[in-house]
Formats: sequence, C-alpha cells, structure tokens
Amino acid sequence: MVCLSLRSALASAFGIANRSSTLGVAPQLQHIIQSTRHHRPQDAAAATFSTSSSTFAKKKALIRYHLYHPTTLTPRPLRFSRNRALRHWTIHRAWNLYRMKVKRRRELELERQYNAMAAANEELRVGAGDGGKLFRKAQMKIGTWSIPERGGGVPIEYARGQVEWVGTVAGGVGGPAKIWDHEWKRA
Amino acid sequence: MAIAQSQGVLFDQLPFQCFQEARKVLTEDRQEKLQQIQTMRDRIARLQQSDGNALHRGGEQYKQKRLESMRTELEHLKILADINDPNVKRRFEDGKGDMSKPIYRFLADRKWREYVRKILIQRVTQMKVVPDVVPHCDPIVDIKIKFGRTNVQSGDFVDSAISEKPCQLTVQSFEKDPKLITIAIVDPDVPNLETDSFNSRCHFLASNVQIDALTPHLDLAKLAEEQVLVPWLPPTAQKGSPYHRLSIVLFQQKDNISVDKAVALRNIQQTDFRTRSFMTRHMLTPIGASLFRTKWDDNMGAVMQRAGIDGAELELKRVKVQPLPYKRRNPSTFR
Repeated sequence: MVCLSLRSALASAFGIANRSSTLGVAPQLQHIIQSTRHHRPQDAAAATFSTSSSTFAKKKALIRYHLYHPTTLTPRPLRFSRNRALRHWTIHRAWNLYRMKVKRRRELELERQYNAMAAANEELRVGAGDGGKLFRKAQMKIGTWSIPERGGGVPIEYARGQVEWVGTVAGGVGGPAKIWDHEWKRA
Repeated sequence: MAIAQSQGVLFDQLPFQCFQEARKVLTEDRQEKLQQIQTMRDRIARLQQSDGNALHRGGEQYKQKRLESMRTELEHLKILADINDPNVKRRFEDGKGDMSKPIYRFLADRKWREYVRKILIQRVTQMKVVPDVVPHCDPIVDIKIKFGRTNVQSGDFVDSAISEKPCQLTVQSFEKDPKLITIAIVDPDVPNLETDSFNSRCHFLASNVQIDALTPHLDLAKLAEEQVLVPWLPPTAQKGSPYHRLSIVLFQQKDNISVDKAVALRNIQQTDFRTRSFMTRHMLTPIGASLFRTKWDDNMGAVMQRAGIDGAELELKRVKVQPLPYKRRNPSTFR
C-alpha cells in the first residue's frame, strides 16, 4: 500500500476514512472534496463500514456530527439557570460600565488638553503685547503643506516614501541598484 | 441531599470571582451616583432659595426652567443608581417591585412599552378609535378591562349580559404624582336611520377620579355621585347592525383642575355625544385608550328592554344600492 502520509497510515490502521479537515465547509463541497481524494481498497472498506463494533460506530457518528455541525458558524444557544443568567447580566453591565468610564475619562482628558491649548493660543494672541504677531507667525497654520515658490500645493515628493535603495529603472534601465543619492539636485 | 439540607449562599455572596469583581465595580458606581444625587439635591435647594432676577437676565422664568431640568436630571440619576442591581432586576421580574420606588416604575414602564403598549396602539388604531373618537392619543397609562371575573382583552367581543354591569378598570400609571382623570366610554357606531350614518353615544362619563402608581384599581360602579356625570348605560347593538366599538378613553385634566359637573352636564349632547367638544371645553388630554366590542347576541333583547333602549324588535338590513341605468354595451359587433 502506498502511504501518502502518517495521517493516511493511521487512518487505514484504525479503519476510519481518511478525510483531512473539512470543518466549516458546506456538505455539498465536502462531497466534492471526498470524491477527489485518492480511493484505495482500504478506504473503500472503511467507507462501507458496518456497525459491528459499537465504539467504532460511536466514533464515526461523532466525527460526522462535528463535520456537519461547525460550532463557529452557528453556535448552539446557551440556556442559563436564573442565578447563572443574573450573574451573566451583572458581569455584562459591569464590563460595559467600565468601558464607558474608560472612554469617558479619555474623552475628558482630550477635551481638557484641547481647551488648555486653545486657552494658551488665545493668551498668545491677545496677551503677548505684540498685537498677535508672534501668534500669527507661530500658530496660524494656513498653507502648512504648500511651497509657495513652487506655485503652492502639496509637494510631489510626499507621494512616495523615502527609501535607501533606488530602483534601477529610475536610475537607468538595467543598471545596478543605487543607494540614495544625497547629491542629487533638481535640474 | 446535602444541597437540599444546606441553607444556601446569598446570591450576592456567590463565590464566583468575575461576578464578585463585577459587583465591586457596580457598587463603586452606585456610591458615585448617590453622591451625585446628593449634590444635585443641594443644588436644587440652593437654586430654589436664590432670587431669579439677581441670578440671570432671564429672571424667574429662567430659574424655573433650570429647576425643571435639574429635577429631570435628578430622576435620571436615581434610576441610574439602581439599574445595575441584579436583586432589583430579580425582584421586578418576580413581580415584587414596589411601585413607590422610581426604579420599579421605570422598569414597569419600559416593559409595558416593549409589547403591551404596542398591542394597545395597534388595536386602537386598527379599530379606528383614534380618529373617530379622539383625534390623537399617546398612551401613558396602561388600561386593563375586567367585567366581574372575566378579563377582557382590548378589542374582545363582550356578551351583553356580562357588560350590563359596569366594569372594573386597572389603570396603571408610571408616574409618581397623582393625576386627576376623566373616563369616557363612547360608542361611535350607533346607527342613525334618518341620516343613514352613525351617531356617538356616551355609555359612561366620570370626572375627577384620582389615580397614581400605587392605586391602579378602579371600579366604575363604586365611584362617588359627584364624580359620575353619565351613569353606566349597558352597551347594546341592534340586530343586523355591524359590531359596535365601545371605546374607553382616559383623559388627564389639565393641571389637575376639577371638572365642574354642572357646566359639563349642561353641555353634554344627548343624542350625538361629541367627545372632541367635551375634550376642548374642559381642557383634557387623552392619556390612555382601549376598547371592547359588542354585537347582537341572545341576551341583547332583554338587556335593551331593561335599559330602556328601543330598537330591540328591529332588524337592520343593508340597503341594496340600485345600480345606475347603464346600457350594456356588448352587442355582437363588439365581440
């Protein structure tokens, strides 16, 4: 007999059909998977297995049950007793409350930081004594990403990340890869 | 046997780690909420004592509005303090909730709104009680009808012998403050043969009835003389007429001001009772509606005779509408 794997050897030894895992697969597809597997005389014998031994029958039934009832796709609904249900509910409420508190704490902290920054900017704008000149120079961030000398707009270099090794096509077709050329200047 | 004989652990002390940690978190939160309730109470007291005009340019009106909002917030905090308690949840689910506490009123209201109120609105809307008898109704109170020992669901047909005596209503309000309500039982389907249409008939009218969350039971037979404006008239339907809807509408009297019986009686129409004009005259808002139905049955004749309503010997029939003269236009040339 040709042993394709340890798994198939074990399968033939125990007389169980050698199916590698088809869990989560629809029954129609499983049929296709089965039919494309290599069929050997031992497999055929295992497929037409008669229920002479009860443990084998149980094992077969169990395996087939788990093949056709994937616990991830449609889990069986839980049924709780009164106290168990109330404990579950309590833990659920407590966890949600805790998450809400953490979120609220973070949001309040952010709000506090924002307000502090806004207050500081306002103070710079009116309280510095130079008519807001320093504020305008430092904090008014209009046109941050544009280069007026190049006609405004975002510089095209932002479209590509900086790399160490430049591709050969850009440096010359067919040549070796070039290290970043620090001396390069725009023509 | 050991489990059966042992006393058992209190639910709050069950030794599950996650559960106990959760209880710790919730108890902490409850303490916080109680503190917030106390500070809110103090703030309300302080605001009440302060002078409105000195406070804000809005003056007294601003102060009242602010007090109103603070009171709403206080009620909200009271509910938040108890809503996470599993013992409260268990007590409510077992029906042992004390309606004098705001949390149980809140839970009862929420449960009512989830299903029973929806059914009530569906019945009242499908049976067209809402546009026919009152223009609009937003139910705030739950109404349950009972005739003697028989419970009547909204929209049920009630035998005339059973409805000859006044019914008992269970009017469950979910608010703490007592309300003065007016109960009107109106039949909008009384056939009027002269106009070939329907009249409204008032079967019962009572005013200045007080209800609150703790006293929901109301026996219409046991109301005081001054409260009853129109005594109970047994619901009847003539043979051959379609079923009659007996709509029960509960109105809240504005600011709990009593309805003047003399004024009311002077203006009630005898033949065609107009609910809308009664509503507007006494400034009533509908806060609950329900209905039951009645149709001709074997006891109806005797009931009508005892109540002094005539028409028991009549049987109504639908008038066949004569078709207009129409020349049948299918000569052989058309086919």
